[in-house]
Amino acid sequence: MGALAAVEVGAVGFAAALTCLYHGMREVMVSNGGFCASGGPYQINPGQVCDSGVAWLTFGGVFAGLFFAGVLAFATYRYDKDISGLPLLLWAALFGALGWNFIELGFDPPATMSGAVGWIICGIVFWLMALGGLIPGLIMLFNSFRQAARPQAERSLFSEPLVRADVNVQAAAPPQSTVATPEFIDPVTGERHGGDGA
Amino acid sequence: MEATVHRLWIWLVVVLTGSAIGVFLGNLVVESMTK
Repeated sequence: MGALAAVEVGAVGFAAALTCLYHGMREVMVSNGGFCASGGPYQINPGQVCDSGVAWLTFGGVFAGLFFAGVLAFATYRYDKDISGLPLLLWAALFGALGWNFIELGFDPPATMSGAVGWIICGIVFWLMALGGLIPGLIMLFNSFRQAARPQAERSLFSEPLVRADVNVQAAAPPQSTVATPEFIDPVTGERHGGDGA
Repeated sequence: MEATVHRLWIWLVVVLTGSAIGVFLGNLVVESMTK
């Protein structure tokens, strides 16, 4: 029960962190054209100064997301070690959500931007990376369910020896008594063995 | 510990409901930070 509660905490935390990161990234793209800076010795273009709230959302989202992804993965392992594919699905959620920002704002860029082809390219790359996690992640999770649905007898296939010798010892032929040949001539030396002269 | 379908479904429901709650809470955080 404790592991399941930790799963819940991890899922809530990861989703909340990803939501913060998603909106933080989106705000920077819409308000600042995709990048911003603050502080330091350099003079910063007024349009590129970071909003402190957005900076907190973005960085907080990244680190909180990593932390809660770890909590979720560890709690899932503790709950049931046969569940697989979760880290790949978290990867897919991250790159899928951020890729959506790139794709949507790439095709409908803010008024201050003349074009956003680079964002579309980034979005396609992000979605390809998300697919790379989504497809194997779903397959692994599906396999976890399929394995769990199998009867116990079928699942113990590899816990028993796969090959056994099918020898019926009772039916084997009895050992034959050796019968000395009456006479044997060695083909190499030509000596005569056995028989009456041996 | 052997997995059972029942346990996996419980896990999946917990993860999905947790994610929905997380998105809701995340939106609340975003609203409070960007105002």
